[in-house]
Amino acid sequence: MKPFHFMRPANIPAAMAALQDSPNARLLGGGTNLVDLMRLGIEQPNRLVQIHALPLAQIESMPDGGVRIGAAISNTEMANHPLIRERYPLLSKALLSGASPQLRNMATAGGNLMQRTRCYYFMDTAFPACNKRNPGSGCAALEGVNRIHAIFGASNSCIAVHPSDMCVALAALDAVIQVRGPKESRAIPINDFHRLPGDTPHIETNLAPDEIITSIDLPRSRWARRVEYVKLRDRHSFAFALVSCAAALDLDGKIVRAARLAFGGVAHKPWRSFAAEQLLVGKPLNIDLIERASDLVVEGAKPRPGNRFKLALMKNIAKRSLMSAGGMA
Amino acid sequence: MSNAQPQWRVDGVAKVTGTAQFGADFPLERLAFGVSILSTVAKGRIRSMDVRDAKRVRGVLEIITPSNALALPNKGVHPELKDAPQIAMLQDELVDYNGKAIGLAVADSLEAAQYAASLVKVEYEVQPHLCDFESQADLAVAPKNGGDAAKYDRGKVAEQFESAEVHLQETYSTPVQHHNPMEPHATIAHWQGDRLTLYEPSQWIVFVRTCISVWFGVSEANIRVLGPYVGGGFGGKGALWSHSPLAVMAAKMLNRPVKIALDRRQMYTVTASRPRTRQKIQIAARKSGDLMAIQNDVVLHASPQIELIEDSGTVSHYLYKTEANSTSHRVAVLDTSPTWVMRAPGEATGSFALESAMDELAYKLNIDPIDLRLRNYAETDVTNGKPYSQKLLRDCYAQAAERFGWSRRTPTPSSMRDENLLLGWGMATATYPAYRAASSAMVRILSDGSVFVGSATHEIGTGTYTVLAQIASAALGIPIDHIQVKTGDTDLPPAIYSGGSLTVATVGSAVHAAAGQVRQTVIEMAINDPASPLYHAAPGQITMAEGELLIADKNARDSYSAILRRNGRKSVEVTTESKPGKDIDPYSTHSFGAAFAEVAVDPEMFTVRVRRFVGVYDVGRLISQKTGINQLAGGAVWGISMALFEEAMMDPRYGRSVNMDLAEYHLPTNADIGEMDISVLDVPDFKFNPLGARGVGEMGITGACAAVANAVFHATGIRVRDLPITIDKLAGRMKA
Repeated sequence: MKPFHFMRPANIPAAMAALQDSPNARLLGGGTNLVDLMRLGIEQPNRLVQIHALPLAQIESMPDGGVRIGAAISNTEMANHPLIRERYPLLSKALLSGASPQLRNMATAGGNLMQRTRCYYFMDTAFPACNKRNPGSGCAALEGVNRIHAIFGASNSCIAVHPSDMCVALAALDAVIQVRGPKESRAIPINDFHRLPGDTPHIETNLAPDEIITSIDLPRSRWARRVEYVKLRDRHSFAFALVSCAAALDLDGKIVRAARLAFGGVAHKPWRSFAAEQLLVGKPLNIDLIERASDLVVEGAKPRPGNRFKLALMKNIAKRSLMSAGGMA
Repeated sequence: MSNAQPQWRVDGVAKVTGTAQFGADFPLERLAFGVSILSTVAKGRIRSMDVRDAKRVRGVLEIITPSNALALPNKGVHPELKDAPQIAMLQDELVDYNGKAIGLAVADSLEAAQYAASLVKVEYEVQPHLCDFESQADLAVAPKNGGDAAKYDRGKVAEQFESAEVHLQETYSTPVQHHNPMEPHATIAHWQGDRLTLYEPSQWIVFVRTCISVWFGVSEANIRVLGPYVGGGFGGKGALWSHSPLAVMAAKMLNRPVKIALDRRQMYTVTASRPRTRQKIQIAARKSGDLMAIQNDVVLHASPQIELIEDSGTVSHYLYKTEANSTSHRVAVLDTSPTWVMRAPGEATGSFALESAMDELAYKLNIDPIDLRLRNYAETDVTNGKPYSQKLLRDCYAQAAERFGWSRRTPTPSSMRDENLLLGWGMATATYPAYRAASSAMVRILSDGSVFVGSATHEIGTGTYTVLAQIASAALGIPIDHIQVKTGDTDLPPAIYSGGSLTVATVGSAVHAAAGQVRQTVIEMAINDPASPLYHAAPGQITMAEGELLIADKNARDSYSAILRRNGRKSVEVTTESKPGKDIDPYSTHSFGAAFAEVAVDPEMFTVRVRRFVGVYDVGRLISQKTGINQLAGGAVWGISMALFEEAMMDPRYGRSVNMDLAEYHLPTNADIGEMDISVLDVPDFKFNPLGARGVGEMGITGACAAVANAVFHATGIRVRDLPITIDKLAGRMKA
């Protein structure tokens, strides 16, 4: 790999300074994605700024009853933390369905948010066409092997998919990403954090290059207890989702007060099915309602020849997740 | 030989503590690191390679390209090495596939070499390539070195099909699969003057020496190849690939040792794969279920480097009793990396197709799949009329069916459930030929009672060290912890490749023979030694145990070490070659088995999970319980993997697979493999060899694959004839 400078700043201002005076610097969490990409020659930072010494490794309860997750927390710690297990079991389950124990021990919350999208052609620099690696070079996946690719929100520039399990759960939990920049701190709702590819698929998030993720905030939530995460993949462990689904319901008796339905493996970002959520709200939860909502989740999908099968999968996984979240399975 | 106490791997501690030295693990003074530069187009010529940036990287020693590579005799082309694929040695500018080695960056650190390799800019004169198997399959041609593989006929197939009451015709296909051993290929070349030491994890070190000798014009006497531990081969380490001669070349050019370790992605193109196959199977049968004829017309792909025939059709020549049989293999040459033998080449793909077709026929005839097979049981080898040295397949079917609980199966698809999951029970026959070849071994007993066993065979993870130690221990009556085994060194007596599941039958027989001769020599010394309690005993009375020779009923005993010491001998040593004799000629030698699988299919998620697998095999005597069962179980996992997971997905536009890593080329995890119940009949086959043992390395993959595919049909009513059986293939056809 290309030689790089390695820095371990002890505090956030020092980390920010390290980012600012080097235009091609990257923050390094567990390195489970970034280091792979560096070995493959896809990412070529000239500086790595490791976050482990920064004061970002706490999980704490917030005054409103929510939880703040420091950006440097490992996936393992997050998944097993009592506050997460008790208040946000959906997040715990999604995390534990991802990767392997070894990877989860290394991977961090911030790094999970920042992992690059999944596409065969992006991962191999010998393929000449990839608008992510080489803006303007084209997209080899459009007419290539695309069984894993996006069926929502893609463009003619890119049909890669977001690979994270954690982020799908965050999308259903209305998480807020706290970031600190050189001038100001800001809060980015999870749904605005990742971008659709459009004409700039090489820019995957709305985080500025000199901003640092400090925490993931989970607000107190009425729908965080009736939840389910279902993940479908080509093998039963250690594989990315072909389609995954996070369902969360707030029920008043039988009546749905609020619903969240988010999908992984179908778009360039965690994909909320707002239409299905709206259909559910205000109605008594029953099989008929769940089936109607599940039919809605594929509306507007634009599959490629290789990934049309994801439509049936998405409907069925939505149904199963909602049935389970609603206590009907 | 007693199997009462299963023997742990004698090299287990060395492996788990990291002291076992694999190919890349030899630290040498001034070791330099080579990283291959690979082509990124499928066909053409190299117009130029700009190495200026690469050479500026700190620590870089040399960038070797076709323009400055060491010129090799006859440009490295030696058709007389007919078992060696023609691999890249930088002797020309030709690019004949995507991912071929076209250069080498050498540096004093791995990181510098990797970075430098990435900076070499290559200009190509690109030519059109052909990498689309689908479009080329119909244009496939007969193999150049065809023989039976090109066309095989027994009896009158056409007549049988004309008079058939039932006719089945289906086409099955299998994808490109890669060997993916846990240990990546790696080579260290070390020249000392005109003598070369090559550290090479190989399945055939003697042939490595031959190839390097011919390619570099160096006497074999000046080459030593070492590979004491090999982290899996599966056929892929049975040949040399570009990195090996390039390490030898770079070490020569730089006058220092050079190591090249391929990374996982490089292994997919610098080494080789199993070819794609498309098999059109036709079966003629009577309504009673009696088979009349089987025909299998196979198309497979090959690379320009070597015409390797995965003879998928051969298994149908003998597996069942038929009046007639016909097979053909045709080859579609694609501009891809070499295809090569991979665990059970031919049987793995061929038994999937044949055993799927048999299952389809069973459904067509409404006959139980076991009954269909028993009705067509071949008592003798129908290809030549010979009896089998031993065939106990009926017992395998019966025992496996009993262990599995087959009698509780209801044959109608989707008729068995576990709550909302569809259960499928499928079975298939496992088969693999029993091979034995010529090899040599040396056994030396020392006056301290310890034993050294040596042979230039290989420990490829299969348990060679353990089983050879067990054989020597049994033949000498010396405890196994007194026995040291050495393999993977061409200075040891020569042995054949570790492939074709023949190592135990071949090298084991040589160790057995050599140990027997050592024992006889020591017995002779004892019975001629007035000081021995065995003086003047009849050799036939003498048995061995715990390092002693004894006549039990007379309580007369003498130890090996005492006999040697009294006779002033430091050691007794015998090197001998063992090979099959004429006594085997009247027999055909095969192993058979029965494989049963239970799958659970989620009808809404289209996922398949293998919950149970039962395999019962007749492999003659199983010498090493632990490593032998481990081999058969590992083979069955390969079969499951072939059925459900493995596929290199070629993008024909680029001539490159899109999933060349272990994240996207899926191998099963523990969670994918359910309960494994593997057993053997353990009946010695002494007609085959003095040990009574046939091979176990490859047979496990046969049977398992089709058993899973048949189970998926039983669960779903959907027959997926194009492996692997993935979610997308079921989702498109299942009504949720």
